[in-house]
Amino acid sequence: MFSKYIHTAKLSIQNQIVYRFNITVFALKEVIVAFALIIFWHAVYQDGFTLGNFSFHSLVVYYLTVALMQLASSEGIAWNLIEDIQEGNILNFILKPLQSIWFFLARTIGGKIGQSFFLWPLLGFIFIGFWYFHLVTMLSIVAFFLFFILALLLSYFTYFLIAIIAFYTESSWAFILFWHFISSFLGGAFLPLDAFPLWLQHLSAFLPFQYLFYVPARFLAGDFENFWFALLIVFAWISIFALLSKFLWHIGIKSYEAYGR
Amino acid sequence: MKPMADKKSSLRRYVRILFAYMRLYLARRMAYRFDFVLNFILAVLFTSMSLLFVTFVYRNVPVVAGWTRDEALLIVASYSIVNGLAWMFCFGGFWNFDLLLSTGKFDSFLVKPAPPILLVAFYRTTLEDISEVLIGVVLIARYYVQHSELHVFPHVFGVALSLLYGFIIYTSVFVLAKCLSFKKIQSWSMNRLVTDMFAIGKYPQSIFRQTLLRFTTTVILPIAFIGTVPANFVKGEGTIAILLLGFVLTCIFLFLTRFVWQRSLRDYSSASS
Repeated sequence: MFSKYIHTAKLSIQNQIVYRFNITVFALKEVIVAFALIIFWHAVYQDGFTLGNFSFHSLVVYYLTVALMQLASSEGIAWNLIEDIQEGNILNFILKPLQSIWFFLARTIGGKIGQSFFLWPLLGFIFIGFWYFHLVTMLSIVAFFLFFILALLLSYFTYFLIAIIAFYTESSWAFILFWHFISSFLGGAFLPLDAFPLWLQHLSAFLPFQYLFYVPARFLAGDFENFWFALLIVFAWISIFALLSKFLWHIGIKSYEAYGR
Repeated sequence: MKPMADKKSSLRRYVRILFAYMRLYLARRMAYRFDFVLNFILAVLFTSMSLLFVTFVYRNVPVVAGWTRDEALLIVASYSIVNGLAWMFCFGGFWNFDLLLSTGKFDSFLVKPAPPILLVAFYRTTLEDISEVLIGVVLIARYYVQHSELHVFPHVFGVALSLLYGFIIYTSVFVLAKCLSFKKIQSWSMNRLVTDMFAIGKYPQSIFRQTLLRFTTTVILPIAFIGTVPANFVKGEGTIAILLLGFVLTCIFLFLTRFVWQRSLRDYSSASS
């Protein structure tokens, strides 16, 4: 039953390996962004100011973790799916004995594994560095990986849901960018949520964004406050987005006409 | 060497081409008004994120590397103006340049009676990005209103010139990176690499305390010219020396891009069309 999805994932891994250049450049880009933010805060801390309870070292861990969390983003699947829906390629897929939501999930997971082949040396280096300087513990690494997987699922189901909008409008691309901007900012990709106003911090706990960057980064740093609450909320959002995706996909397919195919 | 009159008439023709493309783009976009409005909103949202970043940072710290909140907003304003213009007059067209090459569509640009580099840059003049430029202008105007002791007119020349340098340097580096598409089938990741690197220009250059980093961000990859330098001119702290350096760097980047582009075109074999 699962073999077809495993095969899909394998194909996706191979596909990623073909375009090594893009993966390397993307990894480099994330490092540069993290580096810039670290230098920014270094200047702030050198002048004697601080951000909440963050020490400079914990900010470094934070931004490097955020860079790692970019690997969990499944934005690419939304662009591909929108293209498939708008160009009618989705018809080829409908005829196959595959469940769309799991097929694209297998493709995403395969893609992520393929991408990480080139990032493993970098990831290994970062984690060994964290370990060496006692910035992380074994428990925090386990918690981080758990939330990395959950963030990947959350990101996947969200972008899948957004891509389904393409069944109903030509402008679904805007929703991808909208989500990307909002989730990056409110998720804490640029600024830890501790810098936000208190009301926004409280509100964010119930929204899905902070589970994509901020929460995994805090757990890796060993701050396990509200661990079970975070687990509950992230599971709730994954379930909501997964069920909505499945439901809207079925409605979308029924109304799909694929002109010109 | 072309005589001056010829150069002037070429320039006029390029401006006409630009306006023709703008009219075409607007007509096309008006067929899908909702898309146009969405793009406009997204550009506003993108700039708002930068403004929120500054606002939230300055809730926690009074000053960053010698820059107050209002001054830091000037850097974001300058970046927004340069970035908005770059998207309108270059990135919109060059963003999917690798696709133009791999599908063979680029060939149609080669047979038209105008430089292909300009045609590619202009064929998608995303006018929606004017919102970013407008936000930047409003922020600068707001600064002058708040600081009435500053006289606008002596600074306008320096501000405009440094923004122009920033625009030319930014777009030149982008096109230079896109020239890689002639060699690599999938090099779209370069888009994000260049834009994210130049997004560092949203932070004050004085955060770079090491001489090497400061030199790099001023001369090697002059991201200072899209944020800090124009903001300094708005504050009335710009110098003639930095304008001269900007002029030299702009010329270097412009000629380097032109050289690499011409070389790439010479080796281009149009295998896919």
